[in-house]
Amino acid sequence: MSSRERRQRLLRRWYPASWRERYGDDLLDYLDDAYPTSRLPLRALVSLVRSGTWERCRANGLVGEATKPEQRVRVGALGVLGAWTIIVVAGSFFAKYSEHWDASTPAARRAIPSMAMSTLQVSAFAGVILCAAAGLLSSRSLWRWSRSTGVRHAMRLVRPALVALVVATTTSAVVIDVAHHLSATQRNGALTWYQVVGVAWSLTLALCLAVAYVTVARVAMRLEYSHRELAVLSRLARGVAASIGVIVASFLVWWIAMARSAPSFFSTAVGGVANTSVPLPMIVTAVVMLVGLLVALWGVYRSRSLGAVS
Amino acid sequence: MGAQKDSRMRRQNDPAVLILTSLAGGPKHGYALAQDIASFASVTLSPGTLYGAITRLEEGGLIAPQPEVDRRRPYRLTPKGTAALADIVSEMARLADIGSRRLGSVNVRPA
Repeated sequence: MSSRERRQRLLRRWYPASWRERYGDDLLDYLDDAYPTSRLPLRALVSLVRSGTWERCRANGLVGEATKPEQRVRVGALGVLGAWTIIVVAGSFFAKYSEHWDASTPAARRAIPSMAMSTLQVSAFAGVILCAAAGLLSSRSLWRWSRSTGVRHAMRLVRPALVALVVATTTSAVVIDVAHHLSATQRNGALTWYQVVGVAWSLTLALCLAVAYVTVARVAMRLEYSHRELAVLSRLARGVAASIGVIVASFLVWWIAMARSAPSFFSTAVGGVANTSVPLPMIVTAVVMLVGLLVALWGVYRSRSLGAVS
Repeated sequence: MGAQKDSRMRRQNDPAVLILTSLAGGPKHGYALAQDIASFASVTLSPGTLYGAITRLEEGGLIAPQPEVDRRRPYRLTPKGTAALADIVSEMARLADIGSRRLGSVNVRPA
């Protein structure tokens, strides 16, 4: 393979097709002039990878104003959906972690953590409803797309999500069946193999969720939305982001309230260490939730630009 | 690239400013631009940075491609690019003037 071909392959890998079409030959000529005989130095290579990635993000509407506002709204809404996926993973872990919290909290001190937990659950429910509404809104576009692209092609694109759904359902059924044959003590730490199964199951579910999200995003990027549908999608994205904000705030309030009312809960829960209200599982959950919130805020920022469309 | 974005190009080593300054001397293709910038500013622009800035400047209408010469496509300043560069240069001159005057007043102040 000649150095020109190697460089062409490098550009193909990192730069979007639209950019290559316009500047690809110019850049290759530049590289031939600047580095005629030698391989590309590391600095040039890093610069091309960085710049190519940036151009790819711009071409997909992830950054900058190069794409149409409609595309930015769609990408922003998908960003919020991605944030929701992150929150679902962190929230599911938190739901399991905080199980039976009230049993170790004095009745007189349950008011604030109980209120925080209820707020979190109501917000999570609201988020689910809003995501379902976005799915319902997309169903007409999905139908149009599957008819125009052909059911076979559509199914090929959707297949990873269907496989993920089957894997998630099957593994969940098996784990639940096994759990029903165990005592409460065995389920809560007495059996090492069950703990390993629990971790593996959680990772499988997180992976299935990620696969499902990527599939939804790939399909959604191909759908045709009307201006009105995009405006509604943008509002739904804002609603989901707001519910994520409330979930994260409720989680933090619950943590602080529990640290003050029943600090012993954190010592006895999974991964707990004596005399601390800041155990590793809670730190990790908080970080993941904050990442989700930041992604949601970015998504809202990206999807704000529909106002520019006439 | 509107006035708001133009106002971000204020640093003298900003790749966009360096490219505009180089093209003020006449049309150049990518490699000639990099060589010229290295000679007058002692700045070596990496290929990704150079073509990223060219992309942004062309999208903003500050530079435009010309017909190919020896398979190389030169770029030239547009009237909008010339106006933007004039604005940047006068802003830099104003800052340089203020800096010089203040440095002068520091130097004459008794210890």
